[in-house]
Amino acid sequence: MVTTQEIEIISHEKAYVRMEAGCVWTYLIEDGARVGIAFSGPSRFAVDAIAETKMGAMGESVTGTLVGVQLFIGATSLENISKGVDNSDLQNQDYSDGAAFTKAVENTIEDLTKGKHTNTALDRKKETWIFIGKDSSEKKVLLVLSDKKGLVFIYGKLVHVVGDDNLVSVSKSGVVVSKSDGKQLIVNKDGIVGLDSYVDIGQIVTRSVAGAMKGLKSLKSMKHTMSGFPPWDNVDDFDWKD
Amino acid sequence: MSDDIEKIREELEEVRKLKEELRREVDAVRRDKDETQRGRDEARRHKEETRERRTTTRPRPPRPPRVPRVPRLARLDLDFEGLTDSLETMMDGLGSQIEKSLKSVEGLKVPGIRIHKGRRRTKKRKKQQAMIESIAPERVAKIVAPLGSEERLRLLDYLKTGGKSFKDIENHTGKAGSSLTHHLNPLVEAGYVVKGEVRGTYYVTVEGRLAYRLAQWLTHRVERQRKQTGNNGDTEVAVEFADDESAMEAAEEHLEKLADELEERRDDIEDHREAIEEVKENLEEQREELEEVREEKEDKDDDTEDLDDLDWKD
Repeated sequence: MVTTQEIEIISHEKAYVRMEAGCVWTYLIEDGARVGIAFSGPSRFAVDAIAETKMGAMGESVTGTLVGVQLFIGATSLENISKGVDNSDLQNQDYSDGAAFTKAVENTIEDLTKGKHTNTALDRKKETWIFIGKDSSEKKVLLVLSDKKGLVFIYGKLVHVVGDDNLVSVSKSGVVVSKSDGKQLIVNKDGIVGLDSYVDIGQIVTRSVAGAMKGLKSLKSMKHTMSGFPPWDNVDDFDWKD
Repeated sequence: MSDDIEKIREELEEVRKLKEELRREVDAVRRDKDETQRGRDEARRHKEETRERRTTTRPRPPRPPRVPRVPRLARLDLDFEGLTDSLETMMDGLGSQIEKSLKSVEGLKVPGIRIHKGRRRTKKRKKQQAMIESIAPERVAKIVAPLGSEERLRLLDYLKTGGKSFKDIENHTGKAGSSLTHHLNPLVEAGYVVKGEVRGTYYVTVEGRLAYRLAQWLTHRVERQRKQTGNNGDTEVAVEFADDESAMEAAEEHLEKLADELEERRDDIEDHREAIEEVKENLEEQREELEEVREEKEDKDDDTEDLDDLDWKD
């Protein structure tokens, strides 16, 4: 099928995926049930990988144009704004015919799940959406959204896990963990920055170790017994005649 | 007036000298303690040697003359920290009291007298200070320039409360369209504001909040400095003398009161010193008594040793 007007297949507080008119698409089916769609055509995405903390906002906003076959796992109502596709619609998207488009979709799925010893399963929960695609700079886009404001966003080598007021991001500069109070822990090749915010970490460690050592208290009473054990160095030293 | 201030300064200087003297005395007592400790150790060593000699060689040589016992010091821990700390506090307190008193006199503006306790400049702090002072003007401009507009500062202030849409910002600032983006864009470029592309929401970033907060702090410090100097950035001190005679008399009275307080403090210091002397004397007496007891005990022990050395087969 082909879309006849613009639609946002993902419309979330922190992200959208927007298909414009002229996008060719087909259903993805698993065990006879429709689980999502694959589409290709003029489309865009935007993700606000931004968490608002007490110290200010952290993160960034990413936008891009989608190119090639995109996969979407989730419920849609695309059929309401679509019509039957013809070859001209497909050719507009650089596919000679329907079979070519189908083949392209299969290849995309294979690329996603490639590997001899790989077993990929998409375990979908209610009210979640998964989007897998590629943008105009050939960067892979992976977006996992839930209804509860959180999202996971992978864009090339950039990873963002965004909560309402906390954020974990992985980038060239390292791993950044940001809390709601604005404190950050940064792990990079130079070490860990931000531990000075956790001044009582020594006490936390002490308490944890002391708690773990509690169970070993009973070993103390064995110390006296074990100190003279064995009472002989070598069993051959026994004078068996005694 | 300036003579009185001079007098007060001199008296403060004297108090400081007294404090130094006291410190020196404390050090001298500590040195004495160390010396006596050393003497005691030597005596003990000598005694052990003689005892050894007695047990290894026969016949027993005549007992060597008893080495005059060096008075052994009991563990003497005189903690003058509290005293010197209180002196410091007194001096700090004096400075602020003088300042307050003079400031409270109407019509009289005199720069505050401060007793500075020099902060220890560690190597690390000096290095950091040097690094900050070497920041080039263009770098400073990059950070500060986006804040150089009342409208932008208002934007940062407004966004402090959370993300806002363009419409919300328009309504709040009264600016619309391009005149608003004219101010928003530099803030976004500087990283002080981030725009969420999904809903077009603007958020102030951590850097933005920090920059705005520092700008507020800078304002506070500059305004305070101006109040103190009375001139716009001029470092020259402004001293105004009231024509009113009663104000001058009141000032004189204050200064006399302060001089009396200084005298009282000096007496307190003297009393402290006397108390310390007394304590030292008592300790000395106790030491001597302890020494006597110890000598008696040693004599007893020696006798006992003699008995043990007897050859009972004889």
